[in-house]
Amino acid sequence: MQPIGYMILLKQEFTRMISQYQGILHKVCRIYRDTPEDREDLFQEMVFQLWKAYPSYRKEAKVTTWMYKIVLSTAVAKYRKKRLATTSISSTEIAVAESADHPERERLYRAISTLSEAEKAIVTLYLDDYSYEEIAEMLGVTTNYVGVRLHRIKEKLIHLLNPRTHEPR
Amino acid sequence: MSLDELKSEWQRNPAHKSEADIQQSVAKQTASVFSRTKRKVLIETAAFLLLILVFMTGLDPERNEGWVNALLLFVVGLGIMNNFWLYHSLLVNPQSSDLITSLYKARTKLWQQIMFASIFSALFFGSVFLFFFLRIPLTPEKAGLLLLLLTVSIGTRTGVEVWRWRNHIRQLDQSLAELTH
Repeated sequence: MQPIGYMILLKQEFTRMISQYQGILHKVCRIYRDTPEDREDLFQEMVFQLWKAYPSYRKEAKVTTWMYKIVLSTAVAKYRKKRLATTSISSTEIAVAESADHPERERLYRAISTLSEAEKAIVTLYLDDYSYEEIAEMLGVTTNYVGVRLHRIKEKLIHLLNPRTHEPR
Repeated sequence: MSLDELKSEWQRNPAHKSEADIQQSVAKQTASVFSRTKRKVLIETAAFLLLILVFMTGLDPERNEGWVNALLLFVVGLGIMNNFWLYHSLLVNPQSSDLITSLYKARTKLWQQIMFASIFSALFFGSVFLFFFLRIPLTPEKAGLLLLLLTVSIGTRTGVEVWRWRNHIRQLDQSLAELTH
């Protein structure tokens, strides 16, 4: 059992850290859940899991790497009552997102949300500039697997985001 | 949109919460998870204790052999201990291992729960049956019928547990299959 004063300081430090890197959580929530309520639930669950793991965080690893490992595990392992119809979202539906406040970003999120659970994890890390080796280490797969998957994912995303230039002739 | 554009769009933060909101998030989720589990543990412990009280005071335990009563007490104690173990497991810090390891661990935990429910129901129903029926002479037909009833009870309890977790296990299996093939 830790002294109360220590726990208060730890909580303050933790809150500052989450506040600084909260973009990771919002992005993972955005692509792994399709309603605002589900996203809020997942956000809370991820913060809770990070808080539970925080006392054993050794600060040897990069904080964002440590956070990604926990939030991705939470997002993929947590049960979702209603699964996303990942294959049914068409380019047209993605184009509808253009009416949102940040149309480009919304289109990107919608396109990523059509991917499978593992593909989402790979592309999330790739877009945040992790190397193939780092992605492989965080997911527990081989670098070759990451390379092959990323190639397919990039093709899919480019096709979904630029439907007119990729229409069959 | 090119890949470089994708990256720069992605790296812009989609939303922002204040430190106060984040602190509230931790408190809210912690309170809800712990209070939900604590309530479940307390209700089930109270139910087990009530059950033991009824069995050991109102249902003539003195007509049984000592080991039959001891077995029932042991099994109920096991149920209570399991509940407290589940509560304690909430306090354990998750390790930041890789995604595949985390998914395997989550799946193992679910199967452990199913296995425990199955073994516990076999012990519990078995000891309840022994409690009532060792004191009366049974014909082979009646013993067979009781055995059938016992098997159905255990099967039903296990089936309910598998039904309860099936979608979650399937979801984990799908993610694991994708990552390992």
